[in-house]
Amino acid sequence: MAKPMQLERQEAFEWPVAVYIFFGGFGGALITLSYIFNFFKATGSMVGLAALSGLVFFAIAGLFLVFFDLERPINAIYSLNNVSKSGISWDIVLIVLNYVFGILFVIPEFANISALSGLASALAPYQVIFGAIAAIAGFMFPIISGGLLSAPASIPLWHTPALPLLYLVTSFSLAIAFIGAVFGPEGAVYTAFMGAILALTAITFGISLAYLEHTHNGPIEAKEGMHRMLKTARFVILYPIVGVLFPLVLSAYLFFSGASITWAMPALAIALFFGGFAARNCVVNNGIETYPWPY
Amino acid sequence: MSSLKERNVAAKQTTASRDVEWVPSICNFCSTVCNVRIGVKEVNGKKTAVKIEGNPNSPLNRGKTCARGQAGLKQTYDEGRLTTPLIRVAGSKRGEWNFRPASWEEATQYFMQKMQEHQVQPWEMAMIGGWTSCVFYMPLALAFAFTLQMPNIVAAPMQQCVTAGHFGNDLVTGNFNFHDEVLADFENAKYIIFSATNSGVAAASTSRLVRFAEAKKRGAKVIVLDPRMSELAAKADEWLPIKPGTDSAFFLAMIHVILRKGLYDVNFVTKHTNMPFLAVEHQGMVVPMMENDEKGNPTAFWVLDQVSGEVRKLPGYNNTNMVDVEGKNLVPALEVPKNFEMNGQKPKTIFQYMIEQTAKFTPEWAEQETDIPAATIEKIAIEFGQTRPSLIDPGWHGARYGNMINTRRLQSVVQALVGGIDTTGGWLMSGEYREKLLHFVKNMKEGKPTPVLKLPGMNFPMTAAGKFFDPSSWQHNHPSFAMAHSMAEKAAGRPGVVMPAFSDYGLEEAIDGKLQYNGEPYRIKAILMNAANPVRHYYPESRWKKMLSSPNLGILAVIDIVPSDTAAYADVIFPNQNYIERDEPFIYGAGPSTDHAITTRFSAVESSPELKGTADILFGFAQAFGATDPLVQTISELSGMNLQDLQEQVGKAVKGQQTYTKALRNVSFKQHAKNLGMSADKLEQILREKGVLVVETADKMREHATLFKDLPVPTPSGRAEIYSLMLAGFTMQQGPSQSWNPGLSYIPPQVNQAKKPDEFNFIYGKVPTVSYASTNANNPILMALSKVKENEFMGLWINPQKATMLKIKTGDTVRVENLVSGQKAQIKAFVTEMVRPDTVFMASSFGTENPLLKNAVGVGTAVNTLIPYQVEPLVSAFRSQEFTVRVTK
Amino acid sequence: MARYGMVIDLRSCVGCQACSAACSIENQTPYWSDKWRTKVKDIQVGHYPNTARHFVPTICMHCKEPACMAVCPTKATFKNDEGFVLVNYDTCLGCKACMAACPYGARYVYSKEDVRKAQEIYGDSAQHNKVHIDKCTFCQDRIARGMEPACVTTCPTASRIVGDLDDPNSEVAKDVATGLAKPLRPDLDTEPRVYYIY
Repeated sequence: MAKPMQLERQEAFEWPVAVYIFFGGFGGALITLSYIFNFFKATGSMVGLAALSGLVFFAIAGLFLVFFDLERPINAIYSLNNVSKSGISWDIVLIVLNYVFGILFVIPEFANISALSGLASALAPYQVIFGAIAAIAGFMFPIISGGLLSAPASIPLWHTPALPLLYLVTSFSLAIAFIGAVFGPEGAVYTAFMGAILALTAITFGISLAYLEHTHNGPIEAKEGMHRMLKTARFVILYPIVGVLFPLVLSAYLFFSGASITWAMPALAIALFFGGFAARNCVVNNGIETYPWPY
Repeated sequence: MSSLKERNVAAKQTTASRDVEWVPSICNFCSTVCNVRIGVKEVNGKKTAVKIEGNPNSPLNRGKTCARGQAGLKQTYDEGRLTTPLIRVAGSKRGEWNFRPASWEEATQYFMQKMQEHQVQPWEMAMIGGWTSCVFYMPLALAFAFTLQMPNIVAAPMQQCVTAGHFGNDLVTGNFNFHDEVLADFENAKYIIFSATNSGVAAASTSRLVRFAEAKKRGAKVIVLDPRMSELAAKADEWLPIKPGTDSAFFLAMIHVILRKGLYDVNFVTKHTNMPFLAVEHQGMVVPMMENDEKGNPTAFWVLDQVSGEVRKLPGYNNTNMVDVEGKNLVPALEVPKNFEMNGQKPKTIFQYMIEQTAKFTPEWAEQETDIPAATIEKIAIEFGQTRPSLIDPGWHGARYGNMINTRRLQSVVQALVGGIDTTGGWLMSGEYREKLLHFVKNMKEGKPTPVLKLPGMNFPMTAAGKFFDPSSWQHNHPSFAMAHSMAEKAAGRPGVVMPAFSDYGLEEAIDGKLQYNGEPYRIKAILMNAANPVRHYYPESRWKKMLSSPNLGILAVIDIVPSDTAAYADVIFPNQNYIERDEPFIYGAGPSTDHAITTRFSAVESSPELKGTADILFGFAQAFGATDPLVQTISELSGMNLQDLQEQVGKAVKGQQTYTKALRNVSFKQHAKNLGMSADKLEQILREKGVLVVETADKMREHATLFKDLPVPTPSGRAEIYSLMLAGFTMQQGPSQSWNPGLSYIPPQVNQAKKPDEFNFIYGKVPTVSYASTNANNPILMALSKVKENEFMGLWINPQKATMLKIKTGDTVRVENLVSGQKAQIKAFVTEMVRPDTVFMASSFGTENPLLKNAVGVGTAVNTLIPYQVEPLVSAFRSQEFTVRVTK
Repeated sequence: MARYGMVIDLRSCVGCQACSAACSIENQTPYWSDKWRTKVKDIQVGHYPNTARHFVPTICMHCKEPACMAVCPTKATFKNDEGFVLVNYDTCLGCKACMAACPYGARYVYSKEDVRKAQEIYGDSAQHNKVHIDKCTFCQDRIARGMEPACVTTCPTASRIVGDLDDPNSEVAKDVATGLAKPLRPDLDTEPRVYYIY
């Protein structure tokens, strides 16, 4: 007799969690990048803007979580109780680290603003350390917040390390394209940006295939979740096509040909933005579980 | 170890039952009458019922209650609760909820005024009682009717269950109300067959369910005959999706096999059934050789003694065939030799005739009827016959088909053939029933009469209903309208109904003014509705809406707790206390408990002073009619309650010193206390503490009061009647009919068998979260639980084989049309493999319309929008499935 | 201290939902928004006439290694002395990570609207006055009073039994020891205290 399965959509997480993971990862990647730019002695405005926009996106992520998802946000004050195990606790630690050290890190970049100059010069000697802490926290965030989904064994569509990894990589490709779109770098920097996007998108492609494989060979709930995702036109257009193949092809062409197209960076940023969000929202939406009855 | 803080957190997480006072009561959410206890505590400064549990002292439900029992307390606090008497606003139409609040005096006065306006004669009144009234207030209801000379009671469980189903069993065993009198001993049975039932066990009668569960855990084999996979069928080792309405063919084939393979209990069949009785064939009918007294009761039978080879004369009413009229022992023969002659006749035994009559009912024949393979039927018959103890559940709801009484009778015959009546693992009698039977037999021996309400089994309805049928037992010389209608029908050459006991048969004609009796119109002008909801629970709803809207009906008074669909048709409404609020006027037996136990209700929470108990409401009417004293007298006559005590206590009530309920309760306590040899206070204390008092355990009782072994049963002969003497009597009175064939016969369901692709058999059934009480559809928890299973409970079950063809998907709204009556309804489809492809199923008890029932209104579809008025000719049982339907998207 | 466990016997469960009703009343759970601490799944399989219908009561398994507890950021989810997995309604953040983590679907949100409705219905006896993630407590309050959980007490088929898993003479321990009763998804290493006979 066929194994009975009543496949039900999970009831825990909704779109605000996808927004949170997406913007949080994006913000984290931007802060990490700002540290890297600083390390490579990029222009101060690039470092400052990357860090600031990262903080803004973090704020967006946090606000969505607080206002649309948490039932009792005020109790966030208790949320450091279980840092050793809880992903949410970790997330909150990371957000705090990002904010505190991100701000400390970025202030010296604004030494030309008179009100900040004193503070900036005081903090300048430690900027590298502050930046490193913020960067590590920023780097960790997409992984840990992705872990929110990958932790529950009962939702096999989510239960794979591929997911945090995918979110990490796509956060960075988006962040690079975003900075690229805003600053329009040229020459070697442009090529380096394009190369980074190509590499990250290629990795994204690889992880996506591995993820597909995971769901295909996985339990029926994972298969069903993927099946439902692939039946959603919005997802198929936004993620594999717009979010992966298009940036892959475009960045490969630009990188290998050495050509430069003005609309390329903004287009990549937009494509990766929508693709990246789809990759999170559709996965959250299609988390399928089943009561583990014994028949 | 958890921290102190965590311990504090845990301590704060209390449950509703913490610090409650437990008050014993009886559940009122179905006629299983489980013993419960109500948890009461102060909420917002008011004593409130917060939890119900099964009474752990109960020998019946053993501390358990079903979802309805649990959720029952919500009825007390129902938003739609009737809180004050209501009088219809002048000019508004019945069916509209348009009432003005009134005082009790005003409401009673209004009722009496309408009675006068319409010059309502006693026989022009009818009381319509729900099962609550039947189970708890029989003494009051009957006495009330007799006192007011009102020959008309329509009782909700009769045409649906008691006469419509149990009556078939009764013909074999002499019982009357199987719910109350018989508890199938599932726990000890090794082989169990269920037919045409879900409600009686799994959906859900807790007293049965606790025992059935033990059978399942012990590994008893369970066979379920049901065209759909019900909750009960889900527990079957073998689910047999039988063709609807053909269960009797299955049982006839079982009897065929059991008789031929010698799988019956020779000892029981010889000693305690009428199988060895000598009989002859007369005008194509088997007639036992017997003598009768002037009332038609048998006084002698004859059997052939195996030992002496002589013909011996047996007493007409006895528990055993092993002693003849002279007190000499014998062993009756089940078969007589080929050339046996007696007084120039060639009699055979009933046993031999039954063998002959069942010759054609082979498993192969049954396969054609039932769709169950002959090999399966034969296998089950053999297994059933070889396994002891084996058990066929007596069933619960009847009705459905014109053959249902015969079906229930045949399953009782099978049960009798294996000797499983009042035996371990068979049908055990309730303690109360044994007690009644003991008293009756003792009285009979002493030549003393037994009060009507103390009559055991069939003796009760034959006496009580007999009074309603007999014009000469009423001062005005009118029988019940149902009997009058039956007589009119017969006079017009139509079949009529033999025993329309407590039936709605002819009510429409009586209200329309078309019913004639003795050349004069026999009208019904006044109806008193007590905890009944016929607009939902009789068939079809259109008939009831029409009758209750008729201007010929001068007054419709309704007594209820929550406004039902029927209450919307009332002229005046009297609000009733519910079971959590009221003290009961009587002490009762503990339902079908096999222990002889007594129980009653204690008021758990105070009701609003505007609400009254049923006893007080009925006495209020009696007072208005100036009939208080005669009512007291009649109650005493019918129930055997001490008249002086009644007069004294009711006297106090008349003076306003206590309620009528309290008056009756005091007498009831005094009487029971006296029988038990204790003070009334002591009895009260015990019952308040324990809820149930076991007077004598089942084991002890069975030592001296086992049916057949010790006591004759209330059949005409005192034996288990495989050949029914009662049906033989009907045959003599009415002429022969398959509907009252005293032998073994088959009545096929009258359903179109050559169906078109979109034509289906229609079946219905009960779900565990709903019972057929008047108004518990509105219970918010039960409704929430029903909605959890919206497809299963509120959908029309249709097999995908057909659904695919008709392009129907789960959730689609489909139209269902009755192809016999043309009635139509809409319902959501539930496409499922769990039902026969030629059959659709829907659950009963949804489709409430009264907008005051906020949780229930508009949810689901009511079965009685599809079921027409069709009754069979024996007791006017509803033929509620005898049609086909067309299903279209 | 007794280590309470539960055995649910699917051989006898008829899906009457008495457990759901008893639990809902005892623990004031939001029946009005279709949220239950214990439910009965109605699983229908096969093709006519070879079909089966199974009734599977669901409940918190009170795992020894609760997946829900691990992911709780505020440690609002904890195990009490008897090992029952409880939620501190005061400190729950409502992040629902526990809901996602629980393999047995045992948790739901006791929402703001639910709290309002509960207070309307239960007045000053309302047990849930704050928004939180809600779940079965094994009726630890009844256990503390020497009673069985409400669902167990009422189950008309006695399909739920409780007892001390550490007492080799208890019915539950015997059922577990003989392998008659088995946990769900043992592969997840949650070590449930609720076992099923099927």
